[in-house]
Amino acid sequence: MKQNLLFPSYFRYIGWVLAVPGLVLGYFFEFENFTFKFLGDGRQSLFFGNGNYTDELAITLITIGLFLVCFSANKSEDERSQSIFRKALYRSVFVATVLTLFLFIVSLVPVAPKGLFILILYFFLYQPIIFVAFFNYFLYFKHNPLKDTPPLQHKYFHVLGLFILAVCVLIRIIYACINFVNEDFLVAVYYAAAVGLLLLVFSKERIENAIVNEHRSGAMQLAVYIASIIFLIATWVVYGIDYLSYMYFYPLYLLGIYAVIFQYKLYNDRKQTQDIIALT
Amino acid sequence: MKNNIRVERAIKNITQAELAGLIDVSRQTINTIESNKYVPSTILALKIARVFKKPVEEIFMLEEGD
Repeated sequence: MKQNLLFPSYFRYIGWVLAVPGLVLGYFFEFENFTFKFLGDGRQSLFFGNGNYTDELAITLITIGLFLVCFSANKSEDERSQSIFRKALYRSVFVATVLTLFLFIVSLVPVAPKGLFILILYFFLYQPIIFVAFFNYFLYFKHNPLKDTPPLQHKYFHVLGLFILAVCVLIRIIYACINFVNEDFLVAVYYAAAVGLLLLVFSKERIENAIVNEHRSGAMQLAVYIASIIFLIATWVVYGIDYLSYMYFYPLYLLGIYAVIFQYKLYNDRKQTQDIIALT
Repeated sequence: MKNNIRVERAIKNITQAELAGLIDVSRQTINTIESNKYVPSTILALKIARVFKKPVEEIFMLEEGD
């Protein structure tokens, strides 16, 4: 049985103790212009660089808190809860990414309320909460480990995803070379790339078996760890517009890291198989 | 797939919690296996069969459509 790397079960409570105040603080910072005076002078917007660290504090509390909540073990861990953990993590990333992309598209529509745009920044919030929902649903209701398949079953999703990604990379390269500057266009290209990556990552591989599934969940767990750490570091090191991109494109670099790790594991497997064949 | 775990437990006169303790899983897992909501791994099925001292095919049976 493959063991997930998890914190002891009491970390779940520590996680909520960090996350809930973080969420409250975040709400008051964002919507009520509240700041802690001892964390800096004056309220300065996240968008223009910061003299005040209330928002960094809120995001740090939320990120670490929810991370601990998601990655702490059950009181009694066994194969079923391990399998549910992997499945819930994988699906939560899918749903959270789809939600973020959907919000982005809706925010582009002219009649959308202005405040909607800000909701696409909160992937770091959606993914853990959706994970908790899925995990509890699978734990207390239904979970069939034999039906643990990628959400996009048709094989052409793989090809479509690769195509979209290739086109976006091409456009980005061309953009870098020509004398045309448009931030909105670039953001649209990145989100299109996220769609391509989503299709690529969550579709069937050519060969599907239990080992591929294990690699999938191992890669997803590692990718969520790495992406969370990157995001946390960026919260304190990067400011202004640059930091916004770490929030905007969280699903993009999360899925990117996942794709790299997953394909590397598959490559390793193929290499080992070839070595064995070469020896015999 | 169907199973005889409930019957075997009654014969051996142990509760779900006791069976769970013997094979190191949670009581909830035993409950979901008995009510056919969860298909255990091979290792877990073999452990359950060993507790009841029966071959695994007498505890777990394939059904039409499996």
